[in-house]
Formats: sequence, structure tokens, C-alpha cells
Amino acid sequence: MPQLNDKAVGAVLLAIGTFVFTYYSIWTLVIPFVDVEQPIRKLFPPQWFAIAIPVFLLVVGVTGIFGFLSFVMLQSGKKAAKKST
Amino acid sequence: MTRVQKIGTTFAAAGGIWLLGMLGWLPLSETVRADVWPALPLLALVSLGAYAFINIGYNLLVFRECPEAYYELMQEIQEAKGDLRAKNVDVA
Repeated sequence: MPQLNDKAVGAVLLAIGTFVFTYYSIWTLVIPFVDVEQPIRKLFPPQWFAIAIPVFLLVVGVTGIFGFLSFVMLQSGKKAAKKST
Repeated sequence: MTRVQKIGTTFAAAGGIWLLGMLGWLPLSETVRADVWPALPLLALVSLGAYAFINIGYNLLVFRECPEAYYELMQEIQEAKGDLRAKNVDVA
């Protein structure tokens, strides 16, 4: 059932989006003002990770995109060289 | 002012304010300056990604199927393929 599959994907995306947004917003905007002993702090890793994880994902993502681009360009260059010989 | 110029100026203004905060020229409290302020561009980026996810996911959820349009479209595709084949175009 293609429409059920689409709706499932949509629901999953929606859930991931809302969860990531609320979690990260609380992590960066609320937790720094909460005392170190409060129990809510146990749900969130140290602040260092709030910056490290997105930066790491960004680096991996951009490297992947550029790697894919160079791979495709090298392949098409090889194909053009083959054709001209 | 085009849309690109608007977005560019908003970005430049926000970036400038953020840089001023990082350089210590804004009256920020100690926790804000050390913990909250450096994470703000990342918060913006993460929020943009989350907004894209939510938008796509929500629209996928509420999109209504239209079976009549589907069958009509399939028939039109068949007709078009027939026409093209008659004119010696290579179609699947």
C-alpha cells in the first residue's frame, strides 16, 4: 500500500523533527541555567556535546557531499576520456 | 529589495550581533556568554533541519490520495506512448 508507506515515513520524519528540535533547544537554551544537582541534568549530556555533535555531523555530511561530487566528476571524466580514444 | 538581498541582510545582521557577543562587546551574563551564545548558530542550523523534516513529514501525512486522477494519468501515459511509438520514437 503505497499511501500507507508514505504516511509512515511522514509520521517518522515528523516525530524525529519535533524530538530533535525540542531536545536541542532545551539542551542549549535551558540546561545552562539549571543547577548541577537538579535531576533533569541527568537526561542531557555535558554542554560540550551540544556543540560537538552537530559540528561533527556537519563535517561528516559536507565531506560526504564533496566526496560524492568528486567521485561523480572523476567517473564522468574517465568516461569522456574513454570516448575520445 | 529581492528575496536574496533580504535573506542576506538578515544573515549578516544576525551574524554581526553574534560576533559582537563572542568578542565580549555585549552585556551578557556569564552563563550565557560561556554556554549559550556559542551554540546559537548551531541551534539555528539544527532548527532549520528540524523544520524541513517537520514540514515534509506533516505534508506526507496529510496528503490525500486521488485515485481517479491516478487512473486518468495512467491512461494518458498509455495514449502518449502509443502515439510516440506510431511515430517511431523508442519508448519503454
